[in-house]
Amino acid sequence: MNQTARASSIGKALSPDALVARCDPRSLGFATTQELPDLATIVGQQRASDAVELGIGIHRDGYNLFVMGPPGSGKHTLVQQVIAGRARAAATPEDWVYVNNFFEPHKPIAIALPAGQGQVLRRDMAQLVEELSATIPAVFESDEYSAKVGEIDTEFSERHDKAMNALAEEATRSDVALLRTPAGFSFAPLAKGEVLTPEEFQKLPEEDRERIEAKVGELQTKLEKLVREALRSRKERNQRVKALNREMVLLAVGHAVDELKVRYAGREKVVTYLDAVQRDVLENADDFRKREESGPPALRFAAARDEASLRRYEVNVIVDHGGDGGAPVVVADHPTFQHLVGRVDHIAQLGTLVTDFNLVKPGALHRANGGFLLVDAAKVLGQPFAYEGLKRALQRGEVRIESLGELYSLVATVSLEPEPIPIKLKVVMFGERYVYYLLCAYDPDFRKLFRIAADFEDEFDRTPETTRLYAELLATVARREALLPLDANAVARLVEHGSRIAGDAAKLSSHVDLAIELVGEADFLARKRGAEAIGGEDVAAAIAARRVRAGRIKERVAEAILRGTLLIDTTGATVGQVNGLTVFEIGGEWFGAPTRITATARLGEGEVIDVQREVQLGGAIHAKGVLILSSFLAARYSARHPHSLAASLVFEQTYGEVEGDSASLAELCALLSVLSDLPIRQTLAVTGSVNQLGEVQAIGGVTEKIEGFFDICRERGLTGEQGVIIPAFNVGHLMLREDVVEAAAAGRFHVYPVACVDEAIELLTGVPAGVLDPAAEAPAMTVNARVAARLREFATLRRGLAPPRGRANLRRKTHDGG
Amino acid sequence: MAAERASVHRVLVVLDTASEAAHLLEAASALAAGMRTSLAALFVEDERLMQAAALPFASELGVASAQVRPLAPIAIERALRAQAAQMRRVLEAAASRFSLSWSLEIERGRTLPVALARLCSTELLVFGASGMAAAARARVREPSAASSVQARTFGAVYDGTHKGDRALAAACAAAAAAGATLVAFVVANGQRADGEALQRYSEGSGVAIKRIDIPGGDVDAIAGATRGAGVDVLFVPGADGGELRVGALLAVVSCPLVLVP
Repeated sequence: MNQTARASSIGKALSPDALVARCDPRSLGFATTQELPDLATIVGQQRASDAVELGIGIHRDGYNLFVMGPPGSGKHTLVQQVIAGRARAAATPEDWVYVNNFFEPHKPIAIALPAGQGQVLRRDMAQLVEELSATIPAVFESDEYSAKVGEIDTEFSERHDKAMNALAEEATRSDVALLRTPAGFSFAPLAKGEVLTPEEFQKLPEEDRERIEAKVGELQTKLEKLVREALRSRKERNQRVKALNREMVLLAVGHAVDELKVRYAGREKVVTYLDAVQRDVLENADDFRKREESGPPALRFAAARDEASLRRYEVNVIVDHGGDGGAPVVVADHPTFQHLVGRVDHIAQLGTLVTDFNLVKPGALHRANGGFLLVDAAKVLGQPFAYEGLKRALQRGEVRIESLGELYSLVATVSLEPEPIPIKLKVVMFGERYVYYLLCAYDPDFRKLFRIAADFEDEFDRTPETTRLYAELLATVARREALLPLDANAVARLVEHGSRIAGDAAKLSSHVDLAIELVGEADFLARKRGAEAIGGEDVAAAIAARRVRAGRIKERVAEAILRGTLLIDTTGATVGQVNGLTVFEIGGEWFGAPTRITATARLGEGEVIDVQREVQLGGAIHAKGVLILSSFLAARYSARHPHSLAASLVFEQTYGEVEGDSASLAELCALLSVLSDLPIRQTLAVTGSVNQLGEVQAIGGVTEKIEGFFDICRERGLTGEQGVIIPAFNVGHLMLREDVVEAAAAGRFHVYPVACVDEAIELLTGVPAGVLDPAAEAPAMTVNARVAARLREFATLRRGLAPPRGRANLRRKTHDGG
Repeated sequence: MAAERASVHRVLVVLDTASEAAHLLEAASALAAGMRTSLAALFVEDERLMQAAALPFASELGVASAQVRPLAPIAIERALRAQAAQMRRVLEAAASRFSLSWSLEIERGRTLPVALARLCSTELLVFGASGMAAAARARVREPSAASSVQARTFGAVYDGTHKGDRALAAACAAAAAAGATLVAFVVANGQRADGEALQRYSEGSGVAIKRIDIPGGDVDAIAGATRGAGVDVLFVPGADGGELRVGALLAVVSCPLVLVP
């Protein structure tokens, strides 16, 4: 409705046409959505779309994107559409693998490889181990090896045997036996080949005994020297065998490793790693030999442990782009710290937790490296340390896998410190506006890291063009979700519903998810009745069903009013009592309901008591509204005499907080009623806020508020006297239900737009407001004249009750002196 | 001459203070399992040790520590009991792994005479190397993991006699059962040392036999040859005057010795 139309309708009931902005199905230009193409863009989000394009397009540090806006507005769809195009055209990033660091095993080495080569290296290394597992045992089983080890052993054995035998012979020549004890050797004197008993020994002459003891001592010294020599020989023999092992294994390993080094010649880090592998294999060739063994459980366990030790030659591919084309797009559904930056797992082994580089697990940052990471801000902020971890990675330009416990000194266990992996990616964070503003306000790093903000609109203009795009969106959804096509009536109803959700007849809500949900529910109803397309009645039924499902609280409120528990009159007239209108939002559904507002007035010092505020059940905006109307009264009626009014305003039977100033018009009318002693029609309800000049201003939820009062009146019986007074500025927001519009068309319910408080009070009292002159005088019997007279009366009374001037001065003096 | 058949009802493993029990019992268990016989162990406590320990200057040199410490009869008694208990545990474990019925007997005396006195025609007698040099050497040389589990190379001293045939037959049977290779150390001369006998045993058992000639049968030469061939178990015939030959061999070889009566 244009301004002219609105001006002409002020104070008069609106025509049914003004109560809802219909969408004419015939204007849509199609029979069903089957005729429409798929929608390639997001409707009505040009600003956000441009921001997304810019954010995605700039390849510089810090140009990450924060996408904000209402849920279901197509944020994800738009971003993913833009990203998908870019990702396809981008180069596929490198694979990343972790390999063992043979010098510092707790610091696994990260290696980058061309896309798909990570798995190739993994297979190559597995094949190398397989090959070595066959060739190394074969080397050790060869006759050549046996012969060489035999030579070494023989050399040492012969050297030792010779010395031992010589000692044994020397002992025998001296009539001394060399005996083997459980733990060593002992010498005993012999007589005729038999060991002397202690008695026989004691019977020997003393000099014989001394000689024997001396000989035994001498032999023992020699034996001691021999045993020490044997211990040294063992070390020497082991070194010789080890050197032989290296020599033999090198032949097998060197060839295989050299082949790999040629294959990875361009990758210096891989070549360095292969050299380290070769050195390690040479040092630990026994690990390959023991795999061949079988036997008793203890040895089998040892073999299993040895096999596990070969894990150090494996390759842990943490990022594999082998099957990918283009840049990765990763959606972090559960962005915990570990899911973002990766983690090091542990496994229980013999009662302890152990780990190695194979248990390094990638995070979303690893997977998205070279591409795009999409995260939800609320989820990231809701996870301990996740936001900090994400920021740290972006600031450093690398992702470092850290244990949270270790990072914050909560545990003292030693874990791995994998080499950090450099990252270059675009992070797109989705969130609500307040999250963005809070981050901007409280985190100085945030703006440096997320330089581009894409702000999605809650609604967009309802024009023929956007209506058409809206229809195409519904067509796309129907096809994508395999739903029935929508006929023009259905689309028209959904367009109207979109305006209703937007709270503005000239707008459409960008919460397209709600429309999509409705299409799904309407599809169910259409199929149930065997239709081939979703019709307008299906959409209407789906909307009604949704309203019923969400209507429990609303019904309970209405029931309380109809049963008289909540006092709301819809007939008659009462002084100082008016039907205000409130709106509730529960679980995303809005509904309105009337509430009784009463006012009382008495002699006072110009204060208007807001009872809600006094008991801390009124919000700041509500309190502001009350102060404004108080100022209005004083300015309009008491400019030339003391404002000697004391008034109280109460939202009757409300037990929760009241917020907003949309009841200030109703409160002012209640006050004017009580001051003018004119009864207010209870057939009407009022909504709107007022300013100090008495102008009525727009409020929210006007459609739901009207419907809330209408529902009560309808239940009690529409009389044709009932209706709602609304701000004239809200007329363009009306998207009333069909039954309300029908009642209005039948003259059984009315919606009155007003621009100022005088228009409202005239409608409510049926008495002209009257125009005040500069002396606050108005024509007799008008509302304003009665109010002005009452306030003058209060002023006069107050003057009469004032204390004598001298006493007042005395009191003031006393006060000053105190 | 037809190939001798090995008829063995029991493997008797002889242990003494010098024996590397785990090494020897493992080899004997594998042998018994391969020949499907029971395993009997005889632990001979050297009686001379008690006498030596009672001498006023008795002392012991630890083979692992190379430290000299006083020796007393009570300490020897205790050490022998501990060693016997340890051998029982090792024997039980080895027999259990090979699902063998087993027994352990402890006797005091001199190892070789006690063991030979027990030898009957249906037993294989398994000795550990017991010479002084071998005992010390066993400490020096780490036992091969493979030989401790299952012998891979068997040896047999073949002298062309009837008992030599029995030793070769037993070695063939054991090698076939264990999947081992067999080396025959031919110590006989002339006609008795022809290759036909070896050929017959090889064909009869399916085991390839490698021949190494040691004319004269010098025990040092045999010991050297067994080391060179990497022999894990050596089968020897129980010849007349065998005590001397076995005793000499035990003093120089480092692998278990199987005496075939």
